[in-house]
Amino acid sequence: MGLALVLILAGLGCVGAMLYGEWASQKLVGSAALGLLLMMFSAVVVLFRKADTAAGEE
Amino acid sequence: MTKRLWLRLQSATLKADVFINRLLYQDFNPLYYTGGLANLFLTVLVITGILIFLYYEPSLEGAYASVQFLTEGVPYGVIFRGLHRYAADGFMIAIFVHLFRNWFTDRYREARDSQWISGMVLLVFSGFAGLTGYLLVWDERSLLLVSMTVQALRSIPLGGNWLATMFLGGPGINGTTLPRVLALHIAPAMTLYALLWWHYVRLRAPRVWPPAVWVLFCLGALFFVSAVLPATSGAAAQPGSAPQSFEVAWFYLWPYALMKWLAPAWALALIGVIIAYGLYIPYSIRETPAERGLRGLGQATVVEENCTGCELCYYDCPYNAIYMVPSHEPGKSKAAANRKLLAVVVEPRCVECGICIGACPFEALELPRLLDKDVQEMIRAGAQAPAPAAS
Amino acid sequence: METAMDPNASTPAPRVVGFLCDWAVNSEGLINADGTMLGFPNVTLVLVPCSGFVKTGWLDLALKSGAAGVFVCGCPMGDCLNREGNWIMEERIDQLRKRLQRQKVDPERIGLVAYGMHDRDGFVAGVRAFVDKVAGITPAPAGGKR
Repeated sequence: MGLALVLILAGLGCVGAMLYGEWASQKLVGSAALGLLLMMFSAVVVLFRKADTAAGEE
Repeated sequence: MTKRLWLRLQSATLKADVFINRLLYQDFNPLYYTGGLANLFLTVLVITGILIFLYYEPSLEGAYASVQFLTEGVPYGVIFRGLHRYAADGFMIAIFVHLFRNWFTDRYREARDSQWISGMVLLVFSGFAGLTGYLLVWDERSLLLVSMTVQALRSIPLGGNWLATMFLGGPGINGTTLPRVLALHIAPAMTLYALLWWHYVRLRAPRVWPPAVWVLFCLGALFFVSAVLPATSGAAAQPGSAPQSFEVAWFYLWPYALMKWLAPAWALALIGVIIAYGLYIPYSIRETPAERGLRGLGQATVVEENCTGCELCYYDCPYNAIYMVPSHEPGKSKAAANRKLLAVVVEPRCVECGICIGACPFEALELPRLLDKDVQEMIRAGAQAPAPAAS
Repeated sequence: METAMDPNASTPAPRVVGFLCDWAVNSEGLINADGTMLGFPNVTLVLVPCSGFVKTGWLDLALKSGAAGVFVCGCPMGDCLNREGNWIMEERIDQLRKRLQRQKVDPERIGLVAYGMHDRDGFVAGVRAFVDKVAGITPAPAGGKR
């Protein structure tokens, strides 16, 4: 649960950074945030998978 | 001695698998998708390459400025350039992990030589395409690399001068040089897809794409790195004032670094020897099949009277070693009486794995030295042996 | 043969037949002269060139002949030397389990395990877990009842 909360907040932070980057023409900041967001997505996929197997084994 | 080294390497490779499997899920293990990862990076390269191509101007005066405009003037241009730059590095890493993994785990021999040879040709073409990419930027390093290339080409005993002239489009660097380099960048890259067909042609269901988790992670990492370490050019090329040293991008420019220690002709010869040895690897087997632990069960044979032409073995064979041909006479068994097709084993492709035997419900395939009835006997013996007391 | 399978005997170790891929766990010194597995006199191992070689009919045959359980050991999923063998086997076993369920045979009697060439300890532990699981299934051995 705690990890999910951290991911949600970090994801929102990244979206915020992307919006800021677009608004302030800081393209590098926006792209770095996009990259971080995608990498966190991959962590989410692993978490989904974890939830899936846990459900399957019970 | 060498045999022990190989066993060590094989064991280490497999242990790396097991280690990652403990950390991550088995079907997310990146080592099982090294070819797919290379393909992912190649796709990124092609997409970003098309976008960069739209801005690139292959002329001595305009090349550097057009790359600078892409980097500074185009929205997110620097990101696209970075993606192209770092995806190329990722491509090489994935290719080499793929190569070593398949080498160390013995997955290049016999029926798989076609994949190994096509892989070697793919490697040479990708390396060449990546190398010419560094020339297109047309900064000081590009100029130095071009002069080193020309020097190396001229050092080839027969026809070297001719090759250098063909490369430059004249006796020296001139207006037709960069269009040629651009062609030498894009043509090998497009050829990769023809070579990939060769790479896949003998594989049933090749795994050409990594799982979503790695697609997301690699794309994310590419975006992140391109933003944190933006790809830049050196100073603009000034003909006549080439610098003596350059920053080596090791994945692609190592042949030039080699030329620091070796005369150009020897560096070229060394690269030629490495490529030739790479092509020879699948035929360098010294041990007999028995020494390698193969049991020599014999290649799968079709029991013609039982084959119903159902194509199950054809779909399951991982090496495309089974072809379905029109059947001219009916089979003897009841199920095979009305068959239209007959399975045929293409023997040079068969590795004696027996997957087709497991696929066949009609007992129409056999491994000559491990027959169905023998296995059944072993099963009966094992299942019916008197139960020993609990241990 | 039915008498040997008396379920009322003092917890006999269940008969298990295992198919072991040549490329998965190294079988050198793992198999006794009579085909049983070292330390498991109740487990008979049949060496096969690939887990995909195993016919589902053979798994069925093992259960019908009186084995309490039957398993296939392949390489780790995704790591099959022949690329596809263990995935194909997994699908075949899934289908066989459904078929067995319709015949009122506990599908848990069929197992698929996957251990690499150097993971013998894991394999031995996996076999032990499978044997224990099969021993817990009632009614004990389904052999000869169909």
